[in-house]
Amino acid sequence: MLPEHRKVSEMVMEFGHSVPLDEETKKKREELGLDPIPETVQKYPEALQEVRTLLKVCRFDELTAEK
Amino acid sequence: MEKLSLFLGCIVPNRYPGIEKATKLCLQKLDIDVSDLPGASCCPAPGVFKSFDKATWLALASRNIVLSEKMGRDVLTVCNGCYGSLADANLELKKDPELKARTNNCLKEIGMEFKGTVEVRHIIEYLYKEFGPEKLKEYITTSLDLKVALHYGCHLIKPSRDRNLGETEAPVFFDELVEATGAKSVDYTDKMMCCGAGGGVRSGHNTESLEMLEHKLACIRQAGVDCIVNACPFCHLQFDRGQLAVNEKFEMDYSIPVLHYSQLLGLALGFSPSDLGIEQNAVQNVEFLAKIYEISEGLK
Repeated sequence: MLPEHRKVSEMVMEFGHSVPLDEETKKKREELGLDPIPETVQKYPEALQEVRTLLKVCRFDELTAEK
Repeated sequence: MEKLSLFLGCIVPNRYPGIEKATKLCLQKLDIDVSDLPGASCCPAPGVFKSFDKATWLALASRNIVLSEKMGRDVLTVCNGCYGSLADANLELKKDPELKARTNNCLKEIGMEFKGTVEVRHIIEYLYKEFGPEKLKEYITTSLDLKVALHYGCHLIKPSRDRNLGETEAPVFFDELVEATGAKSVDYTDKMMCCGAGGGVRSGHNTESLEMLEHKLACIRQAGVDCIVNACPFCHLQFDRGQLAVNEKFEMDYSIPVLHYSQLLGLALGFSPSDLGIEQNAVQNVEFLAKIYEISEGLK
């Protein structure tokens, strides 16, 4: 696995998204009249925990860990 | 028409919220019953997850589908990559009882079960099949005098055996939806080529990814269009932010505006460029912005 692809995997493990929200986009969302935090896993800690549990159950964390 | 939930994925809400806003405005204008999909995660990205571990790919994809099953709504995506993951996973799980049982064994850990009761739709195939270009024209209030280089992308049409969208080597369904807005879809060399982003190429092989993009941009520039239109935020990001990277890496001067189809349709439905987040793109083409403001204000 390339380090760049490992990074993508780590992002999903940490944030539930391969491309997580940043401050610049929060501002863009507000400019558009959208909630700064979208209705995704980022807004719901229990949803993020579900994603992490699945990754663990599938042992994806072990598969993508640096060896 | 079935009720829908809007699956945002990663790049739309977290980098290009204008596509989210434009999509919501268009769906509302077309009187489509759509709701948010709270708690959805990455689809997950097919290039990395499906390639490295199919069980993980199915587990995360099915969790997103189950969220929509619980709401009794079909999933609607505005991203080719998300469509590639969710539609393909949905189909595989529905077809293969053993795979479904193994995936449900994982989902059991979070108290979920995949039942296979909903469909996964992409906004382009949805609009084409449920509305069609002629019906869509009835909603258009602002005919767009624009020449467009249309980029289909990969997962929207492949695997062709599962998509049921007719001809997939030289497809026309998306062109017809573009032309329903009054815009002209201009043919160009290597129109069906990948943008160079997907399959983990942009993240893992950046130089090759930008070389592919540069080739597409050169072909598109030769066609003399006003803008590029896509139906995938990852292609959108590649064409928009990638264009600046191409300029820097290869000392080029591309400045081709990039719109998601929701933004193009939004203009034709009477929304202004600022409503649709078009000015939030990395590529800032002043002439194009002036042109679409003129069109939007009825001056052209």
